[in-house]
Amino acid sequence: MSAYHTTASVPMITDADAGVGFKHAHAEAVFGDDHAVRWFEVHPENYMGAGGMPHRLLTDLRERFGLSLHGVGLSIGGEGRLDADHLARLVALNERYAPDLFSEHLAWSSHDESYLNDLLPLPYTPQTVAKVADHIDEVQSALGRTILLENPSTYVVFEQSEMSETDFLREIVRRTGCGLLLDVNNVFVSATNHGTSAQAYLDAFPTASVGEIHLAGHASVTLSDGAPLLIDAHDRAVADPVWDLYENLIARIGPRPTLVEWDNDVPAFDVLAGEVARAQAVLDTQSPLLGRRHVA
Amino acid sequence: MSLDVTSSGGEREGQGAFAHALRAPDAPVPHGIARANGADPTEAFNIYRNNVVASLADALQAAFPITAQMLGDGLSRALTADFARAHPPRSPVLGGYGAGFPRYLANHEATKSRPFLAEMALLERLYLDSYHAADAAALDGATLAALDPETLSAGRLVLHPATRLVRFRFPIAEMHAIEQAAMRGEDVGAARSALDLRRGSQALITRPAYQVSVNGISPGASAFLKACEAGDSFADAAQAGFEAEPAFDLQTTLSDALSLGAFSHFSPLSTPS
Amino acid sequence: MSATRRTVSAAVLAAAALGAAASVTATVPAHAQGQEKCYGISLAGANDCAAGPGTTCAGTSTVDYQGNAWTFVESGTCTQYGTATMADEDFFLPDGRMGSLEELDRDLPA
Repeated sequence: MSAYHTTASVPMITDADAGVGFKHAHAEAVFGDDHAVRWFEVHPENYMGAGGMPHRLLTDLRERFGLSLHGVGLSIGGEGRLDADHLARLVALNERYAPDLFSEHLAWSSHDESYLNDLLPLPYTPQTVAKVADHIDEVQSALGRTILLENPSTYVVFEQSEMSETDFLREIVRRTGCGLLLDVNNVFVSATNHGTSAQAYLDAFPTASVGEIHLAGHASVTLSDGAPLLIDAHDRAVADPVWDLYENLIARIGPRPTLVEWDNDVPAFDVLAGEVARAQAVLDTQSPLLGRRHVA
Repeated sequence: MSLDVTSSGGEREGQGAFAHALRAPDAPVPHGIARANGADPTEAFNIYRNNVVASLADALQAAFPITAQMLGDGLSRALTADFARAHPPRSPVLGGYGAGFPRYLANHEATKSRPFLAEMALLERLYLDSYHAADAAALDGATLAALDPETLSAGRLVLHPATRLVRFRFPIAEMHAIEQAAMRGEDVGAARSALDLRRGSQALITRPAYQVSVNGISPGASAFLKACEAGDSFADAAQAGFEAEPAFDLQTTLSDALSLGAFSHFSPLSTPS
Repeated sequence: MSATRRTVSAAVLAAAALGAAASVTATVPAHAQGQEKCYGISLAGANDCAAGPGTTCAGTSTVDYQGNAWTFVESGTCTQYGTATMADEDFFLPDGRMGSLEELDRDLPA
């Protein structure tokens, strides 16, 4: 199954490339139209059936574009043990499709054999650092590769937290050697919800470990006391303040693979391609030599 | 599985308390959960409550799109959210979620008077089973026709991994076709009112060329294919078809089933492999 | 199946197989062709190519969590099919089979 590693013509994701989440409804446009999107990301949980159309599409995608697997179901921030069956399924997909990037979330989603289908927050303490680090060690050992861990959008905080999220992530990187997926929209959502500065968060972030960046749109609701609360809804275009944070970030740290997420109220593919083009333009300002390894 | 969501959750700690409160809309926010500005965290915590139920209800409506259309927006949303609260998935692989939803509809007060809804949900669950089933080549007619009569008689037709067979008390396969046409925007009012609910039906679900196909079949064809599924020899399966329906047309059934990719191969041995 | 039952003759089976093979290609249903136009799901809800549920890592602003905010209002297309009851013996199959009831309890993946 390692043919993708050894075949020179297989597309790869480089730091200078922007991509977008793959939707089956866009398959005709993705495979048939002339477009500039260089890579795609999928949730491995949606490709864990035995066969059929999902695997056929993912096979086609892997052959023609860079590929990232972005897990949502492993519950790395969970108090209990990792789901061994689920980890085995991830290992199988990683071997079968040899993705360029593999990421999961700093969150939990399962408890007592129930899967809650949301990315739930955890307190940041020495105990949770140890638990998350153990889980990441287990995942990286099973996969035989390092993974990227994504910062979450959060709506509440924990009184018991003893460290900042950026310090937590820095310590996880130090202990496990994992990389980070920096979701700039999540930074903006959480900072707004907690009354902190998104720019200060980015300044404190261990950017040397960033292997991928996410951009997405968010929804806003107004609480009964008049305060706004942002929701990481992925249901619209990336917001202007998030673009500003992203441009400043790339100018500071250089290009990184950047993905646009749009999962609810998904528009036609050309709208997504337009968002990708905007991110690509930002990346291109910092990579003028364009020494792409991309072959497709 | 149904978790208790009525008790206070007082003894629970950490993620157990969080998970409990997520599924109990009126329970207090777990101890230690706060807003950074010190405000009441209930509304913010409700975002998580909402994400869990809404995303699972969305998943169920995606898994049962025609059942949802037949229920109507309000009732569909209410029932899928209720099911999601009572029966959360046990796996993060949502393609398999909702196996218990047909039974839930069959027992629910709101849908009791329309029992065909539970059968439609069952058909849609089998549709997704077929959609995700393992890949395999389909048996082609020439391979079958090349076998000598004795081999043919003693051996058996093996169903493709994506083939599903189901019998209904209602004309579900026709109803499925009508509702799919409605989703495409066709006018199906006359077809709906003309459908005779007093007829049972049999459906063959296959996946030719990666597309799931739902087909109403005759009682004889159903008995024949069910016998193939049970591992009977071709001869015994054919006999089952004739016994179920005197006018059973073996050649046409075979031709249709082969065209739809219903078989993976012909096994020369009559014992199940 | 019983070993003693009468079975269809090998010659009849062979003739059916031969006849079926000759007509297979002519009967491929139209919707099985043109797969290039039907790769996955349609944005506007389900169609013949429904792909079922998937996971996302997004939240939602659609308010749905309150357990008491719903009523049983029938507004869907099922009302256009008339009513039936589970107890109505008219709806049992002629040979007494229970139709799909046993299928409802099949051990499908959870």
